[in-house]
Amino acid sequence: MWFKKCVSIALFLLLWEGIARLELVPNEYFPPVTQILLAGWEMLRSGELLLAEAQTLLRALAGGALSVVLGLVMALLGARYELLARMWSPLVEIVRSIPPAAIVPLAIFALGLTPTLFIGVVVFAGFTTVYLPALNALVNTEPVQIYVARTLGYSRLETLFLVRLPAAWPEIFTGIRVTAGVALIAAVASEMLAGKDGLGFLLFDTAFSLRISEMFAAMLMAALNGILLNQLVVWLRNPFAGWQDRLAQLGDAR
Amino acid sequence: MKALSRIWSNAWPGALFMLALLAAWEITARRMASPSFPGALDMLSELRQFGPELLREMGTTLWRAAAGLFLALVTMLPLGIFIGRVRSVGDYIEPVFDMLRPLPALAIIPLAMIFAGVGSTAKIMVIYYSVSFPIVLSTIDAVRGAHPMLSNVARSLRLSRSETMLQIDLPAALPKIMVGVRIAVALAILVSVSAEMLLSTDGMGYFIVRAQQQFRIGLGMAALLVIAVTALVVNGVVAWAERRFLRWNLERQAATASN
Repeated sequence: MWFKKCVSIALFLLLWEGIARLELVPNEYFPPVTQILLAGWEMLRSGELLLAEAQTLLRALAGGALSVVLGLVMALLGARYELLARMWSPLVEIVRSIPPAAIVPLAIFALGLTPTLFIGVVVFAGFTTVYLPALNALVNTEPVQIYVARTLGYSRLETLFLVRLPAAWPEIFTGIRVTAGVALIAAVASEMLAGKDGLGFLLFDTAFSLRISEMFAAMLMAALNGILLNQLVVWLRNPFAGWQDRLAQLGDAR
Repeated sequence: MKALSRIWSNAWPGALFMLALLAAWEITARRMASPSFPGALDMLSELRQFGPELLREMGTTLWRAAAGLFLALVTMLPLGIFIGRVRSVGDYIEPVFDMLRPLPALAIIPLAMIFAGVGSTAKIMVIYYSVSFPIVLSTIDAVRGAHPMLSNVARSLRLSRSETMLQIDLPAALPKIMVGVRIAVALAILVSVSAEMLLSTDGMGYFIVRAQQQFRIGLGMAALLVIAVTALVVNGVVAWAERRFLRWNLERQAATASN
């Protein structure tokens, strides 16, 4: 599989390079891969790309982490007190269906061009994708596991933290993975609209000043961010939800 | 009447909470008495005044979302079934999708702008790009995850490869594909609004940007409300259609669960 993957990506890049070199598409709009890498290297050396990257990644990370905390706390509260979950469910549904970019103009009024703005937008966009799967998983625990907890004389709070939560981690991490992607989109979108700094601003800035190779380099960086955050979630998942993978392997071995 | 009281018994905490929230918002706004912090009533009066215009702009936004979604369905469903079924070629195409997926959808807006300007084409391009992933990836998964017995049946019936794809793979994969389609529908509206904000010509996204430029915050909030309600309605319709047309799958699931 690794071999096929490498061949496939190499072919894709070769095709790109070929199309660009043969000038099937005007070169100023569609530069060859090598030129993009060169431009990216130049931008890295001048610090332009690295600074924007650090800003975007930090915003996405801080906002994403806050989203996870908020979503989890809300889900735990909602699982313990069902009334709370029913109470804020319309609010969650409304927040979920508003595009993150759409709240940026209003957030600029409320918060100004501060770090809070970017992080706030990311949390607004990201917490529902943690909350909804987490609540679902916490409420729908396997009945057997609940019976065992009851047999052992666990209180409701103990059941929640010692039985329901560990059983729910795999699904919660699926939600966190989605949130990681959403956080990046929200960070880039708010930077595009706020127009001050970060990768989102760099993308627009390079596009408008027709530095197309640089624009593609910034896009490459944005994609690398996605891979980076995804890896981070996978790496964090193991101590919490690794038991599920081991269980699945056990099932295969039988 | 019974159904109504059941709905009420499920919904009263949410309804009361929303009302309390609106009241708290209105009271704080009255206290602050600042034009940059309008109250709930201001928003509602803006909503009443600009209702028709808001709906028209929302129509534009929805039209583009639908166009992008349609293009993605028409091209990505066959591609997904092909990649999933014809492994010898598909294994080489799939990594390209995996490579492009981490790129945030909105990051390709500048690219779309360079190739297609700021018109509808550019926006539909961006929507098409972003909704393609959930559709194609869920289709690949669905086709690969189909019961092996199904392809044996196809072989026994001596179906050709294209017949197998159309008559066996597609129906068997539909329930799982619908998961991707549901994500794609929500995403299409979201990206459509965002693209309009950045490539401002018309539509709901542009409306919000313009409201901001005119410092009409209540109007911007009214627009947000319209977007939220529209998205909820559209998602509800999709969920309803899924229940209606894929009932056989739900019935089968219920049957296996009760065993």
